[in-house]
Amino acid sequence: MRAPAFALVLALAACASSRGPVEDAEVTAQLGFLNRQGLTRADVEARLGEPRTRYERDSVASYGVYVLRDGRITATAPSRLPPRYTLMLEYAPDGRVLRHALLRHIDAK
Amino acid sequence: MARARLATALLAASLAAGCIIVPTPPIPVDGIPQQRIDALEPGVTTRADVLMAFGDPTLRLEDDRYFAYDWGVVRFAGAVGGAPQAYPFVIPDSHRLAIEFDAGGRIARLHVFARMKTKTMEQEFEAWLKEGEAR
Repeated sequence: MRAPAFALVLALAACASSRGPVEDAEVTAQLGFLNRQGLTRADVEARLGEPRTRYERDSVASYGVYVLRDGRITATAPSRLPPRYTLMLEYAPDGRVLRHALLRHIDAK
Repeated sequence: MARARLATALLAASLAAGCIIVPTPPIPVDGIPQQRIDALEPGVTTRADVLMAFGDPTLRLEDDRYFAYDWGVVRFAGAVGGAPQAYPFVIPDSHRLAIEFDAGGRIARLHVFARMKTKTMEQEFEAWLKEGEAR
C-alpha cells in the first residue's frame, strides 16, 4: 500500500506548478504578429476575436489560447478542449498594443 | 496546534481505515513563488502589472479594487485500501494572495493567506477586506 502513496508524491513533485509566463516556441511563433510595431486593438481582435475578459476600462484584455491537434492555435474555444495558455494584452489609450504576456492557463474556481 | 491535532487525527484514522499518509515536501499547485510576491511594490506596481504577471485573478471584488489569486500547496499524500486497488489522495493547504488597489490603480496593500482549512482562510480574508473598508 505504500507504493501508491510514494508514487503519488513523486508524481506530484513533478507536477509542481506556478502562475506566470511560459515558453512555448511554436505558440510564441504563431503569436509573432503581436510584436509588429503599431499593432492596434482592432488588428488583434481581427485575428483573435473578442477577448475572454476585459480589465481597466478595456486597457487590459485576456484571451484563452487553445492548441489544436495540428498545432495551430485559436482563441475561440473549440468544444471539449480546455485552453492551454492565457494571453494577456495591455493597450495604450490610443489602442496600440503596449505589451503582451503568454501565461500558463489556470482554471478559475 | 491545529496542524498537530489534524496530523494525530489523520494517523489514527489511517490506522483504523487501512490507509497510509506520508508528509511531502511542499508541492505548490498553480502557486505564486515568494520572490514574485516580494517583487510587488505597494504604491508602484499597477493593476495592469499584476494582470500581466499572474493573469486572470481567481476573484475580482468591488470593481477590481480587490484581486485574489488562489492556489494549493500539497503537504500530505496518501493511499487508502490495499493492493491492487489502492486509491491515492492528497491533502493541500489553501493559499491566497489578496491585493487591494488604490484609486490610481496601484497596489495599496497585499497579504498572503495560508491555512489548512479553506474556511479559516476565507474568514481571515473577510476580516482583511473589512480592514480596507474601515480605512
